[in-house]
Parts: sequence; structure tokens; C-alpha cells
Amino acid sequence: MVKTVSSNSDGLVSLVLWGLFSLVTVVSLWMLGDILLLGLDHLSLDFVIGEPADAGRNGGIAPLIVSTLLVLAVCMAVVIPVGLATALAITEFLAPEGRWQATLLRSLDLLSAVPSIVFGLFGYAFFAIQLGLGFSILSGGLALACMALPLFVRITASALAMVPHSYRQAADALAISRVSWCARILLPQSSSGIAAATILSIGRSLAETAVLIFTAGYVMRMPDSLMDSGRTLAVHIYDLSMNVSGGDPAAGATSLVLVVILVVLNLITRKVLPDRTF
Amino acid sequence: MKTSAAEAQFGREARLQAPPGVRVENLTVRFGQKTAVADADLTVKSGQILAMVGPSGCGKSTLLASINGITDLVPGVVISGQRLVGNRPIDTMSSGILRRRVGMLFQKPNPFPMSIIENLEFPLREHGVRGRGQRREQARDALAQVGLWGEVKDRLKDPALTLSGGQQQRLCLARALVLEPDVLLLDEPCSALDPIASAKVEACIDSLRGGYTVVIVTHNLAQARRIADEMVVFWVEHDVGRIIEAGPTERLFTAPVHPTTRAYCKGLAG
Amino acid sequence: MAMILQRFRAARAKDLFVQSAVLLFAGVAAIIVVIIGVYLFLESAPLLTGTGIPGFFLDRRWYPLEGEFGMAAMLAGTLSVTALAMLLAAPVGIAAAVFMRYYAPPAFASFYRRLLELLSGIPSVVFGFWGLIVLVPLIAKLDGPGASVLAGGLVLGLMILPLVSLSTDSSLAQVPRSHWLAGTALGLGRWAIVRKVMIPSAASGILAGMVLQTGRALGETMAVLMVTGNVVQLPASVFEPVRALTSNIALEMAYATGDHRTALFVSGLILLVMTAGLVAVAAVIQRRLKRYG
Repeated sequence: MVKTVSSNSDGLVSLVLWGLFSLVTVVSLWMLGDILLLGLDHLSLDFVIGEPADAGRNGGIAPLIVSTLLVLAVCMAVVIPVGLATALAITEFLAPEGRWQATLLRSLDLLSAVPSIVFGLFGYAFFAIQLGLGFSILSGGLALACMALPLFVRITASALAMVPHSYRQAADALAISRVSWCARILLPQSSSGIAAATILSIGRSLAETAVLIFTAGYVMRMPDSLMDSGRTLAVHIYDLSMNVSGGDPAAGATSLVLVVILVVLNLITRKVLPDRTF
Repeated sequence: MKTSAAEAQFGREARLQAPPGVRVENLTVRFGQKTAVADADLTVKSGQILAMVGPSGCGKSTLLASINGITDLVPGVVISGQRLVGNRPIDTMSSGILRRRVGMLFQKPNPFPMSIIENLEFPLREHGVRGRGQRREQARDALAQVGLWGEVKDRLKDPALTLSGGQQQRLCLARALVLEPDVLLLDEPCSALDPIASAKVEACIDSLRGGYTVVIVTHNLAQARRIADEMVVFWVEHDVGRIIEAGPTERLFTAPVHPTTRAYCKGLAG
Repeated sequence: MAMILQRFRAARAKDLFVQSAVLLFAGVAAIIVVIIGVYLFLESAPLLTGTGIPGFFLDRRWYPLEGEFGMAAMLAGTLSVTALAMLLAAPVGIAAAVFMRYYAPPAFASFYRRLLELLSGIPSVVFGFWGLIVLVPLIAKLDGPGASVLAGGLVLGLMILPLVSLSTDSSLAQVPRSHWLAGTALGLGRWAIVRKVMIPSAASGILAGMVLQTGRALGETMAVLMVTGNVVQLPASVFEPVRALTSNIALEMAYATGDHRTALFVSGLILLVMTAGLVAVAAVIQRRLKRYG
């Protein structure tokens, strides 16, 4: 903080800013506190490992956790290879500032702005109906992948771009092949950035609901396969609070579980990439 | 250490052919609107050390990096003129062969983020040297050549980045030498090093004479005077880098023709 | 080929293969958004006749089971909630960024930033859930049923706030430090420097960020769905319930058939076009205003 000359308006502005800071902090902590309290009431070990009962009002969320993990797995199984390839294309294989690179970047920008319900509509029309996958974890995971892809690509591409230019110079001077450059130096050097991209994409996907209600569906049972319909934690919170009377306590507990998972992911990202903010 | 250097020397002197010379004819390099170098002519005789001197921004590094085609990789660059290694234009050579014959050392030491020995074996593997034993032997020779073998032989698997600055630079030189090039391009190799490390690297470079054709860019006129057989002086005229004088090093210092050369070499300008 | 690809370092078969695979995957990534657009368009096609289109925007009567697909009320719902949210989030968000960057002691700044990052990751259903059980009853005490434009605006505003502030913060971070020093050298006070030097320099980034967050707000579904009451009507006051376009799709898609379903796809297409338009505006802002700072 550089010292500057103070003036009257400075005092007023400072007051306003501190006031707003307090307001935001209070409201946020109010919300988080409410979730915590409401959730803790209903939370128990049985809740986490048990099966849902009575439309979810009682019992647990074990099948939902499994469904959530499966949807995430499908999603990341698509996002990581496609996203890595796309980021590599942007930083390594397409002429910088060229027409193709610009088109790809613009396309990804547009994709990242698509509303989540539109992904839901598209996922329904394309994956569920057109490709015949129906309401399934597979449909949900694929639709989610379309949504998570731009975020993953953005973070990965910026991690790739941060590899020191000097390595590239040395590799050029030794005529190292492109494949060896990527495999032996570029990717290993950017691995923490790629890990962060993965974790952030998972976090974003966990928070999604609208994409999944028309693709993965609502079914609360433990899924037997990827073709089964499955309900994720976020969808469960929605159903419990909107469609199930008396479902609030369970919704609160589920919210608490979800928020805790996200906080943990947030902390892991911080460990992996300590000085980056996205 | 002296023994291993001598052994390495012997290995090289056993090479029957003299290294090729390097010639640059009428080279002009443009990046968009800016002309970095214009109408440059350069001749380096076989086995000689040529120094390119001049203030910053005259295009010395650009010209140097055009000899092994690195400048060609910059997006949007326009290059005209001829670059020949041993009478063969470099455009007729594949990049793999070109950069095997012409090695490069950069200003800031840039070993790969791998172990010391991997830094040398990786390029060998890339250029098709099969057989781990063969690679290990060539790596050993290269390290001996730069006087590093004794210092690192007990920690070959340590990360290269744990070496000191001077050691890293000698490692990078070894990495350039491990492919057994004929020509070496050195871009201000000592400027990022402390005086002691700088002296060691300079001694290595001096030992390359005869076995390699060497082009070195340097800001250090004293260094140029010490190790270069021939010298080329660059200057910026009308925002474009040009060669203003060339010739044997001693002559440029004692009887320069161009007034700028006289001022620069006497330390009054640049 | 030479125009689109960087020069080869060594043209080996291995390189060629990997390069083709990478470009293929990247190509897939590039056309996803196009496929989405095409699909929405195809599914909407039956109702996209010349006479039908204006009706979507001007007609208030949404009685899908009787073939009336006027979306004006729902558009009003979306726009009113979004506008209220941005009205709240934009100034407070910018203030938060300015606070973190220029006024707060390091510990507070770091705490605030962590809090905002945490908030930005919280699922919209959780925001909606809290809004439903806490805010809606509170607003009901003031006026109306509680589930209203106001509830939607507040919840959405709270959701968008962290995004606006983090985006503004990163735009401000890119202003060269020398600008601050120049201001100090001229004897300007802290607020004067922020207001006259730092913010104008980052203006293009800040504005573009806000445009993009508006797009986010427009497209938000769950939180809005849970707290706005979902009554299809033009709101007479902020205390009245409305239905947003996004909520409508989420509510009716499950049982819509035939033309009704097509109409929902049309509303999806409208949302897509609106957000795409905002992305374009943001890009233009970045390009134009960059010249001034």
C-alpha cells in the first residue's frame, strides 16, 4: 500500500467501502451459517452412507453420491483429453494470432456463455433423444462435458503458455520433435496448472443442476450402469426444496455436504497452485 | 580434469575433415514493419572463431539465430539472402540435420528441467542414437570436453537446475556439443555469469578453435579481443542494424577504418 | 497448410500423427457451439414462421396448451430480475474490488478475496434454497407473497456479486503500477487516483466483465426458479411474482409435447442469441476501449 495524500472525500469513500465490505461479509456468513446450522441438524453418518427413504425426507444420500461421482467421471473422461488437445492446439499447433486460432478461441468464448438450461435442452435433444442415450448418467456426463470444456481449456492453455520460453529456445536449437517437446517438457512443466484446471472444472460441474435435470434425470436409486438414470446432489437439493414438502432439512444437509466438498476442492486448488487466482 | 579434457581433445582432433565454414550473403531480416538486419555479409573460415560485436539492438542475435534457422521460426518474419554452411544453403537441409550440424548456446543458461545426464541423453535419443551405452559414452565425452565431468560424475541423476549458473552454462555447451556439431553459435554466453564462471566458459570456448567453426555474439570487447580470430562490428543506422566493418580482430582494434568502429573499440561510444 | 500451422521442428511420422489427432479433437471442441445452435434452430423451426416471431416478443399470453406462445411476460420477468441483480451487484462488486485492491489491509483483503472465491463456487441451488427458506418469508413480511422480482434480484445479485468483483479485481490488477506512482507524484489522494487513473485505465476490462456477468445472470435458472414464484405475468411492482424464461423451460420441459415443446426450444434459442450477443458486445468493448485504457 503506497502512502498517498489524504483528503476529505477519502474518508467518506473509505467509510462506504468498509461499510459495503461489512454488508457483503455479513450476508455471506449469514447464508453460509444458515446452511451450516440447518444442515448439521439433519446430518449424520447414516445420512452420508444410507439410502434415501420417504422421497428423500429421511434416510441418506449414498446413491446420490455414487451418481454424482459417475456423472463427474464421464464428464472428465471427455473434458480432459479433448480439453488438453484443444489447449495444445491453441498454444502449440495453430499459428498464433492466426485465423484458425482466433476462430477456435471465439468459439470457446461463445460456448462458455451458453446458459446452463440451454445445455440442458441441447443435451436432451441431442444426447438423450438423437443419440438414443435416454435419461442416463452418460447423457448427463456428456452434456456436462460440453459445459465444463471452455473453463478447462482456458486454465490449461494459460498454464501451457507460462512454460519458460528459454526451454522452447533450447528445444528448437536441438531440433527436438514436437511430440517429445510436449511429452517430456511442456506437459510435465504445466502439470500443476492442468491439475488445477481439472479440479476447478470438477467444482463447476458439481454445482450444475439445470444441465442434468433433462439428461441424467431424477431417479434416486443406486445406478447399476452408466445407462441408468441418476440424480446428483445438486438436483436432489432442488427436488427436496421445491417438490417435496418437509424436504427442507434433508435439502439443508445435502447442501452442507455439497458445500463442504466444494470448500475442500477449493483448498486443494490453493495447495496445487498457490499464487494463481482465476 | 586436465586429463579428461585432453582425452576429449584427442577424440576430436582425430576427426579427419576440417569443419565447414559459414557464409551469410546479403541477409535482410524483417519483423513486420521493423527491419532488424539489412544487407549483412559475413564469412567465417573453417575452424575460426568470429566475434560479432556492437551495442544492443543492432540485430547481432537475429543474424546469429538465422544461421541455424531459429529466426525463421518467428511468426511473421521475412528473410531474404543466403545462409550457407560449408557451401550448402541451409534451406536445402532438413531442420533436424541443420541443427545437428549447427549447435547453439544462449545467453541465459537454459538446461532442460531434467537430470544432468538426461539433458545430454535426451537430444541424443531424439536424433536417433540408439543404445543406452552409446549415449552414455557420448554424454560423458561432452561433459569432459567442457570440464564438467569431474564436478558432476557423482551426481549425474541430480536435477540440472541444482547446478550453479556457470555449471549450467557449461552443461548447455556440453548439450550443444554432444550432437557433435561442426558449427557453434554462441549468443553472449558469458554475460549472465559471474567473472569466475565466465572465465571457465571462455576457456572452453577458446579450446573449440580448430575443431569447430564458432560464431560468438558478445558485448565484452575485451573478451572478443582475447578469443576471436576475426571480428564483425554492427551498428544501428537509420533504425536498421548493419555491419559497418569486418576483419581480423587485432586490426580492428589497432587500425580501424570506420570512424564508428574506432570510437566503439576505443570505448568512446556504444 | 503452412499458413495455419507453425513450422515443423522435425517432420516425422510421429509428429504428423499427434498433430492430426490434436487438431481433430480441437476441431470437435470448436464445433460444439455450432452444433448447439443448429440443434436449437432445427427444433424451433416449426414455429419460426415470419408471422409467428414478433408474437413471441410482444404477446403476453402464454397458454401453451391452447397454442398461445407469447413470451413477453416472461421476457419481462427475466429482464427485471436481471436488471435488479446487476443494479445491486455492479456497484457493490466494483466497490469490493477497489476495497480489496487499494483500501483493505492485507489480511482483510485476503480474507475478502477468499470469501468471494468461495461464494463464486457455491451452487445456484444452494443460493436458491437459502433464498427460499430465509429471504422469501422476510420479503413476505414487507409485501406480497414473498416469492417475487425482489427475491430473485437479491439472490441473483448475491450470486453475481463475487463474479463481478473478481473480474473487476483482475482487470485492476493489470493496470501498471507506474500509473499509481504517477498519480502519487502529482499529489493526488487515494480516491482521486482510483477514480481518475486506475478505474479508467481498466475500464474496458471492467465493462466487458460486467457485460459477460449480465449474460450469466440472464441465463441463470435454478436460483431464480426457486424464489420468483413462477407466475406468468408482467410485474406491477418488485414484490410481485414473475416467471423467467429460463425457469419456464425448466418447469415445463418435462411434460411439453408438440408445439408446446417447440415453443420452449424457441425460448431457448432466444436465450442463446441474447447471451451470444452479449459476448459479442463484450468483445467489441475490449477492442474499442482498449485504445483508451
